[in-house]
Amino acid sequence: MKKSIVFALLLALLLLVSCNADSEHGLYYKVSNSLPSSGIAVIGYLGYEGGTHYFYSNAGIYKVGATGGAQVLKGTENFQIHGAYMANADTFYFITITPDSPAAVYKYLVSTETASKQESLTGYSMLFSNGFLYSNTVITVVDDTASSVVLTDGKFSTPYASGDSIIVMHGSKAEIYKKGSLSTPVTVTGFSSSLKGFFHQLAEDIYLVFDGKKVYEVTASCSLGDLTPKASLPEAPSHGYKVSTYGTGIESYLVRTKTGFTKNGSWIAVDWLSRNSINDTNVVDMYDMGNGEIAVATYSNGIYIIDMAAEKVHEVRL
Amino acid sequence: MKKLMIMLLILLSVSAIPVFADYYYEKGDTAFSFNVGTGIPAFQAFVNNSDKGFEPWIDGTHSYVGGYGSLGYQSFVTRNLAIGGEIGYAFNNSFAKKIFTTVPITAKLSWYPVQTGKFDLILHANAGIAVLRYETDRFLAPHAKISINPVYYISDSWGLGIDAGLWVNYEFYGSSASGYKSNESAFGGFIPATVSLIYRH
Repeated sequence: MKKSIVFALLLALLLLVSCNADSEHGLYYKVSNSLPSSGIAVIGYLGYEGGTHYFYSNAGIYKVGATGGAQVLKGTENFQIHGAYMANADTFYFITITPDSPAAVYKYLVSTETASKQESLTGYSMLFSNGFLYSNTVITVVDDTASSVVLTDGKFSTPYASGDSIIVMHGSKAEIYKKGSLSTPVTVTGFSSSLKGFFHQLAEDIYLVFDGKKVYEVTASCSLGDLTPKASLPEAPSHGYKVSTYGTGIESYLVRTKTGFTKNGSWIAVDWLSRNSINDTNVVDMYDMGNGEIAVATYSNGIYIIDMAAEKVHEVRL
Repeated sequence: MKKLMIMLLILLSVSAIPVFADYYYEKGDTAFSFNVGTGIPAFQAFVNNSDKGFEPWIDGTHSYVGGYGSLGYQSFVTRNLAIGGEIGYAFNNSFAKKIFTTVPITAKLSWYPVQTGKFDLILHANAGIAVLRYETDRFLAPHAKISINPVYYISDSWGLGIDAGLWVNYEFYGSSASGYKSNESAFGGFIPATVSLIYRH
């Protein structure tokens, strides 16, 4: 009887010991990297202009300078912001959700503090931070509604948007639409898995597409089978990658996966991101600031600036 | 661990020295202890990680002050030395407002250098294991604690005191640990400061 009690206790202890086997980090390490909430739940990053970052939460559109202290540009009370686009530092578009009325697109001018309704939306709608509006199978650009794309086959999946473009999957085929030439999309065939990431680098007008762990560079309509992967990432994500380049060279890109950050396809071995706590945050957006730095917007821990060359991270306190 | 052994040996040796000629307790007497109070994060010491190293207090550990409670039972093996066991529960929030819990299960050795019947000064040394939990992760860590516990007896059986000390957990990972953990072995220090209720008979 005594032996079986001791055995049961030892078994229980062994089970307890094994409980942290699958975790990437130790418990004390995670605690030491924990961060207080910024108090603003960032949903999306809108842009960087004149040393100021622009972003939005469900409750409003904000700006914050390098020294921190976020200011509300447009607050909300009776509705939630579901998506936003910054045309310039004075002009913002956002779509709203209200309990009693259909979703709608609004245009807000900071200088006059006026919001004007642009259109009502029906069906599932998304406004991306590069201005693409996806609503009920139609793709338009909110500040250039002259042309539009109608997705008719009904088998497409949720789009990803980046730079001046948006990508839509139809099974194993993707169509990339670019502002100014919506009627002539770049078509990429031969995807083996659902798309997890997409990046349009404006400087070189090329696309990075992610098929499982593989990263491809695309410049024109093609089949992935004819391309050589630029990199093979160490981890397949469970949901969308966050991607940003940080220079003009296509070899310079940072990818956020579920576990951490990879630089040009390899884990960042040096723990300089973890050391700055950023590894434990919920990243919602990454943005190429154009000077070798990447702005990383996190859901509840504010915005971080990563200097890729100096391998330094600093936090912008909201 | 070596230091702990040396400390226990010193405690055992010193315990043979009678501080007061009159002992209150007899061999075989027993005591129950109930402690409740607060717990202060003291430090985290990462042994293989030069970026982190020794990180003290709230700002260093990224943890807030929390709570601690325990139950203990002991029996006197000499007139001033008691052995027994103790189980506790401690919690504190990280900066991310996520709870970190510790459940220490220990053997306990107590030395009573001062015992007047109305007042005891007790030094405790505990050793055992602690179940650590943060988010969904758990770890079974070696655990050691020392504390000092002055107690005033309001009746023959019941006493009220203060128990404060320091405990250390060791979250150890070998070189083959998965993920980044091989560089994340750490000692975690915690200062329990509690009100103690003692029942003796």
